Amino acid sequence: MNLPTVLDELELDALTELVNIGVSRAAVSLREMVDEQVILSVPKLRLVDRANAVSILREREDTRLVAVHQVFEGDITGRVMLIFPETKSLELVRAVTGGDLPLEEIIELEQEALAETGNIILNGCLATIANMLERSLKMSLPEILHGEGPEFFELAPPPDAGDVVMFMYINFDMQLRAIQGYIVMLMDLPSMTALKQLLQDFIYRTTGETAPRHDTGH
Amino acid sequence: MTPATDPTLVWALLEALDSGLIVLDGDRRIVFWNEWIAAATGIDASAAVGEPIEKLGLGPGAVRVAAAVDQALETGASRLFTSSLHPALLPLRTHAGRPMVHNTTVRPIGARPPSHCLVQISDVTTASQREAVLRQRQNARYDAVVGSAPDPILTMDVEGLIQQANPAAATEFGYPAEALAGRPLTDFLRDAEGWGYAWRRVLAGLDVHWPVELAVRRSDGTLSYVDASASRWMSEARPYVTVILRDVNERRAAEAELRGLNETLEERVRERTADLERAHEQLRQSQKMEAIGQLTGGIAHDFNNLLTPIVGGLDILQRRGVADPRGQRLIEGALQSAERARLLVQRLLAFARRQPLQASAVDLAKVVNDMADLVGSTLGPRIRIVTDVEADLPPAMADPNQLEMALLNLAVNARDAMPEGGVLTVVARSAAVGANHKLRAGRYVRLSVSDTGVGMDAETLAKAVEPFFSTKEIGKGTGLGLSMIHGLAAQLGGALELSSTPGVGTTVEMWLPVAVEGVAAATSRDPSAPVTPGAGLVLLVDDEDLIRASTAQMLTDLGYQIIEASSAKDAMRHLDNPRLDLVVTDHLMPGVTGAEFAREVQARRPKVAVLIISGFSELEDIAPDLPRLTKPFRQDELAAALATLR
Repeated sequence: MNLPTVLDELELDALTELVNIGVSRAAVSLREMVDEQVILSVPKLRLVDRANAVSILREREDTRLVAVHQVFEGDITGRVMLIFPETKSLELVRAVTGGDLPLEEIIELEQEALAETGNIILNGCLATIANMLERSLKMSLPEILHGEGPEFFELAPPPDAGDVVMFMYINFDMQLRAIQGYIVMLMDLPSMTALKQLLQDFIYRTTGETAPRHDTGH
Repeated sequence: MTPATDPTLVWALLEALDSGLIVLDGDRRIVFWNEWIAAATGIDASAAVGEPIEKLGLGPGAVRVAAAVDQALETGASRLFTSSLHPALLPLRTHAGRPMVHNTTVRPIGARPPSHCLVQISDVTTASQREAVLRQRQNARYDAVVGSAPDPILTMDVEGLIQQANPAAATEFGYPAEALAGRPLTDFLRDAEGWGYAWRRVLAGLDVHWPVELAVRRSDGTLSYVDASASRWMSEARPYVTVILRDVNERRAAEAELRGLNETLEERVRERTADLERAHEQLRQSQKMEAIGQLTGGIAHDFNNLLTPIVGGLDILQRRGVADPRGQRLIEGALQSAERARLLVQRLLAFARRQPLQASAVDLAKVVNDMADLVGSTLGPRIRIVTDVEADLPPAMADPNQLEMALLNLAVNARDAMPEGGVLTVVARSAAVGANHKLRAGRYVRLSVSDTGVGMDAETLAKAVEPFFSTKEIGKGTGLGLSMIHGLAAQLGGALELSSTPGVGTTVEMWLPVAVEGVAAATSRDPSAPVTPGAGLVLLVDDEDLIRASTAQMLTDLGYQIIEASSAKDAMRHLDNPRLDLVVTDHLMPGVTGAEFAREVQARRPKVAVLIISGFSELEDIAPDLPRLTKPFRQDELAAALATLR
C-alpha cells in the first residue's frame, strides 16, 4: 500500500482544516463547561499504517497511555481515539475541574471526566467533518482505555481489509496548562476511499476546482 | 415471542425502566417521557410531551442537553454528561425528595440521518454518596496527618508536578496551595540539578541519601532553605512521590555565623594583638616618660648641687669686686652662663615633676588676660588672639609663675605652628571628672590653647611630650616646653592632653584641679631689692663640702657668724648653744635628713628659725610648712630667704 497516494496534499490540507474547525468548536463547548479559556489546535496530520502509528507513539511516549475511544459508522466507518500519556490525564482533569480539588477527588473523577472531555473533543472533530462533507455519521458513547499503545490498534473486531491510521497531534491549553496528545482515526480502505471522494467533493464545492483524481487501487 | 412484537409490552417496559428515558423527534419536541423522569422532574408526561426540553423550566442544564440533541440529530454524535463535571445538570429529585446525582447520555436513534434522539438519565446518587463518605474519611485522615504537619508535604505525580500541597508547604513557598498544584517542583527551586538526581532515583525505586538540601525561591523572591526527603508509593498501579521538606533556615544561619566567626578568627586575633600592642606601647611610653623623668630629676639634682658653689662663688667674687674690669667681665660672663644652666635644670625638674612649686589658688581669667596682653604684640599682626574664659570660673590650684610660663610657652608654640598666620584661641572652662577617668574624680579647670596651624601627625603627636623632642629648627627651642607643661600639670594633680590634625591645627589642654581656698593676693618679690645684712649665729649643715663652703662664705659676707656641720648628727651637738639664732640645712644627706633635723630643732629650740636648702621638690610633700630655698641660689636670694624667717 502506497500511503501518500491515499490522500493528496490538497485533500490532507482540507482534512486538517476540517479537524481544526472541529476541535475549535469542541474548545467552545469546553470553555462553556469549565468557564475558562480553552484553546485546542491540531497542527499536524499524518496518514500512516498501524505499525507506524505504534512506533510513533513508542518513540514519543515512554509511559502508559490513556485513550478515549469512540466508534463511528456511516459512509465512513471506523474508530477514533483521543490518546495522551497517563501522567497528563490528572492534569487534564485538574484543568477541566477547576484545579482546586484534592488529589484523591481528582483521581476519583478521572475516568468520568476524561470520558466526557474526550467525548466533547471527538464529537466536535467528527461532527464537523460529517457536517462539512454533508454526510451523516453515527457515533457511539465514549469508552476509556489504558495501555502501552499497540493494543489500541488491535481492538476487536479486526477490520475486514487493511486499514489506515490518520494520526493527528493535538495541543490543549487550559488554565495555564499545556498538554499534548494525539487524535487517532482508524479506517479501513473502503472508508478511506469514501473519505477521499467526499473531500474532493468538498474541495470542489468550496473552491470551484476539481481536484485531480488519483487511482485509489480498486 | 419477542417483546418487540408487542408494542404494548414494549411501552410498558420503557415506562417501568429504572432510568430516565426521553425521546425527541426531528423537530426537537418530546415524544416520549417515561414515569421515572416524570417522578424525578415532577413533570407529568402529559405536560412534557410536545414541548422542547429547554422549555420545561429545567434550568440551564436543559439548554445544554438541547444542544447535544441538536448535535445528535444533525451529525449523529452521541454525548455524555457525567455527574463529575455536571453535578446537577438537571434539577432532579429522588423519591425521598433529595437532590439526585445523575449521568446523562444523548444518542441519535434511527437510520442516518437520525429521525429521533434518545436522552437517557441514570441515578448515581448512591455511588456518589459512597464516594463522598470515603473521600471525607480520607480527607479527615489526610488533614489529621498531613494538613496539620508543621513540615511542608508535597505529593507529586511521576511528571514531577505537584498534585497536592499541605498548608505548611503553602506557607513555606508563599503561594496558596491551589497555586502550587499542577506546577513542577523545579519551578520553585533555585538549583534543580541536585533535586533532579534524587528525583530520578526515587522514581526508579533506588536508594537516595536523604536529606537533600534545596533552596526554595519563595513568592516574594527570597530564598528559603529546606532539607528534602521523598518516597515513592503506588495508587492503582500509578506511582506518586511524597516529598517532605524541613525548614533549615535557622540552622543554616547558625552555621553561617559559625563559619563567619571562623573565617574572621585570624582577623580578630590580629585586631586583638594590635590592641594589645597599642596598650603595651602606651605602657612603654608612660614607663619611658617615668624613667626619663627620674633620670632627669636625678641629674638635675646633682647639677643643682654642682651649680650651687659655682653660682655662689661667682656671686661672691662679683660682689667683692676682686678683679680688674676685664676679670669682672669674665666673672659676669661665667655667672650668666651659670644662670642659664640653672634655668635649664629648673626646666628639667619641671618635666620630672620635681620642681619646687608654690601652688596656690589662681584666678585663671587674670592669668589668661595678662598673657594675652603680653603676647599680643609679640605674635605679629597675622595672628589673632581670642580668649574665652567662662564667667565665675573657680580658681585653679597652680603655681602662678609656672602657669604663666606654661601659657607663654604654648602661645609661642602656637605662633610657630602658624607661619602663615591664623587664630590663637585660649579657652578656660570648668569641668567635672567622674570615676573611670585617669584623673582623680573631682572638679577641674580646663585651660586650652588652640591654633589653626600646620598640626601634627599621630606619630609626632605621640612624641610631642618627650623631653628634647622638637619639631623646630636646631637652636629655636629646647624641646622642653611641652615636657615641662606636662610635668607641671601632673605635679599639680592635673593632666595634659593634646589633639592635633595635620593641616587643621593643634589643641593643648591643661586640666588643673579647682582650688579649695580663695585666691591669695599676688605677692611678688623684687629681685633688685638690696641685700638685707644679717646678724647672729647660724648653724650651717651640708654634707657637700663645696656647697657648704660657698654658702658659708655668703653667710659670712652677709654678716652672720657660722658653725659648720657636715651632717645632721654632727649638727645636733651644736643645738644646745644658747647663742644660736638660725639653722640653714641641706635636705638630702646621709643618715638624718634636713627635714628630720629641722623637726628636731623646732622641738628642742622653738625660737631658732630653720631654712632648708634643697635641689629637690619632694620636700614639699614631706614638710610643706618648712621655709626653704632652692639650690642654686645667689647671695641676695639667700639674704631674702633668711630675712623672711624673722
